[in-house]
Amino acid sequence: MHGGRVRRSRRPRGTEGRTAWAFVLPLVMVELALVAAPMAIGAFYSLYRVDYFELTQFRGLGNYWTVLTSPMVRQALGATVVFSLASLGFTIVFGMALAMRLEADTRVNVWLRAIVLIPYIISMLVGSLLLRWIYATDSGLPGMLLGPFGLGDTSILADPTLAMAALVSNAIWRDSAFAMIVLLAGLKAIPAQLYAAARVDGAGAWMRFTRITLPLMRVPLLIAVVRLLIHFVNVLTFALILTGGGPNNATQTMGLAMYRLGFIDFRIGEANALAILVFVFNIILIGVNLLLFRQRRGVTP
Amino acid sequence: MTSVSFTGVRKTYGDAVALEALDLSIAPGEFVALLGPSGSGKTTTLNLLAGLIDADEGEIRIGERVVNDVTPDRRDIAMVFQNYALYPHLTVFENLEFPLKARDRRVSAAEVEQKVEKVAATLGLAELLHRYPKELSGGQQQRVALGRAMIRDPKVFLLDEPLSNLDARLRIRMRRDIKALHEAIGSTIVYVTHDQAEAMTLATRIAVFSNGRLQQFATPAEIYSRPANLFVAEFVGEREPVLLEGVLTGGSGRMIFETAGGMLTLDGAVRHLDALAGRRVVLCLRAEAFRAGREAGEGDPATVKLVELSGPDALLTCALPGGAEICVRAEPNAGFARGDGVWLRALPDRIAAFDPQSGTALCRWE
Repeated sequence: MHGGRVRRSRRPRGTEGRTAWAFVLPLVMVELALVAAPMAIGAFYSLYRVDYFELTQFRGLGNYWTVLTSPMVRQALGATVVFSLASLGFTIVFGMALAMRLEADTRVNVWLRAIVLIPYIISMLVGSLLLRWIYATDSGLPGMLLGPFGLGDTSILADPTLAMAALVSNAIWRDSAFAMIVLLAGLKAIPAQLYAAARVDGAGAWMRFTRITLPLMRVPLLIAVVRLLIHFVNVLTFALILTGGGPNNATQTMGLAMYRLGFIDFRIGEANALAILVFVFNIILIGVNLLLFRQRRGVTP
Repeated sequence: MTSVSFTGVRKTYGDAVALEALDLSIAPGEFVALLGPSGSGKTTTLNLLAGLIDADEGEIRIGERVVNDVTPDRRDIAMVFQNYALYPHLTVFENLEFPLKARDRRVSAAEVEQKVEKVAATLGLAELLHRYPKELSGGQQQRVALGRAMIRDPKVFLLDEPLSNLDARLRIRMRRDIKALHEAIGSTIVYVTHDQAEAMTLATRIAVFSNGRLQQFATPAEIYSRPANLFVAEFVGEREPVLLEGVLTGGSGRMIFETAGGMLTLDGAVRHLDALAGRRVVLCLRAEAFRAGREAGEGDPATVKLVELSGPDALLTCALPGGAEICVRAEPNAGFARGDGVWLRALPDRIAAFDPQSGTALCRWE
């Protein structure tokens, strides 16, 4: 009797729980198969010497040591920091400028927004290939524009600094559109009356931007910063296609370093160790950003 | 105290005319309500005065100065917005000091503090200075918005439906506060509202708008009892008046109004209707334009169809023998009930007549 009542009262929750699981389970399976399992395998591989996918020797944390002390990784770390910070800064500024310019829903702006989105929508690979042609010495734009002045041999991708600039430009060209979308949503959430009030109160354009727009855009800005930073730290395609890491590894970012260790040098164990380290770094990055989020949550619109 | 005037001001948005040739002149220290339904041009008028939008034609003056090309911050006005437009990321104190700091970057902290405290004391905000707007009630936010407008001591206050987001009781209380404020500071106030009761109770003069045109600009009493046209007659007043179309006959102290639904005798002061004998008109019949009695022979006979009791009085819906229905105000303890016979005596000086086609007022008041 007692047991029966308990069972009856629990049944609805049971069905509900089962339904919930039924909804979540497919995603959990996919997540397990495509994220958790490879990561576990990767972590396991990172402890071994791996020759052509064959585990030949247990090395403990040896791979990690090799990776951490390798000059190549150190250089990749430097390149990644330069690339990520430069790309992030420019992308946010351009994204904000685009969002503010294209905020009003005029017909022209709707078209311009679509055009701005093109680099973001097309495949990253295609985009980077396009830019490689554009920056190429012989067939590219610099040769075409500077050639008549006798400067036709300007070679962008062969100069370490210029190549890094080219890589950053690739990131800006593609991801400003992403920043624009996120920031546009934030801008639209600010009531127009606030700007009208500020104008009547005597605030000029710059003051309206710094005292109204920026503080009220904190959350969208943080979202854009977090997403873009993680993207820039990990991105492989730009460097792989546009510069190939050159010249002399000047543009070899962490993503590309991992790729080279694993698929060109076939040092699978070390590549996995590096991947795990980058993963941990990413987690720290996310944690720091979440902390920033939480600290000043009180003042959203 | 400053005057405000509009001369031939017109504003269009593409093909849509938001405001048509507006002429309006507001005396120093007046409290003017811009009244009308949405899309009537009242908010456009306010925004033009604030400088938030530019006029296509015409001249706007604040005092003696033409302000068409003056930016909002240099017009010496302050505005209270419908949703208060408080800066959500700033505290009450920071909201109040914003206009001072925006105008003059080098204003001294002591001066700012003194002004903020003075305004906060006037509006009872002293306890709330370190709260954020979302931690305040609607009425408190409203007062902060007023305070932000007052702090600069502007020549003209512009208020855009400042009470529409408050609940009914608070609205009535704030209404009184705003009126008291106007009497205390004496500034010119231009107040946009779609609530005729707000306009009637607050304003020294009301400008009624419809379809981008100014319909009438007069004192509340005049707007109510002598509307310029049918739109004003219908828009103003707690309750829509009964409009009956018919023919006026007779004259010199006694007129008969014949409609398809029955007839009414207009006895006594009908001089404003005299010239209309023999004409087809629309009469605007408000509930207080009749006395309802039980004694036979006083006015016209009718039957009570519906009794609505409100605290101070009872509203009777009465049918004339021909079927036309009229609403009449009566004493609540007169004890009328559905089906009772009633005698309606019209008070002609409370009845206005309009042209059935154009809707403009026909009567001549002296």
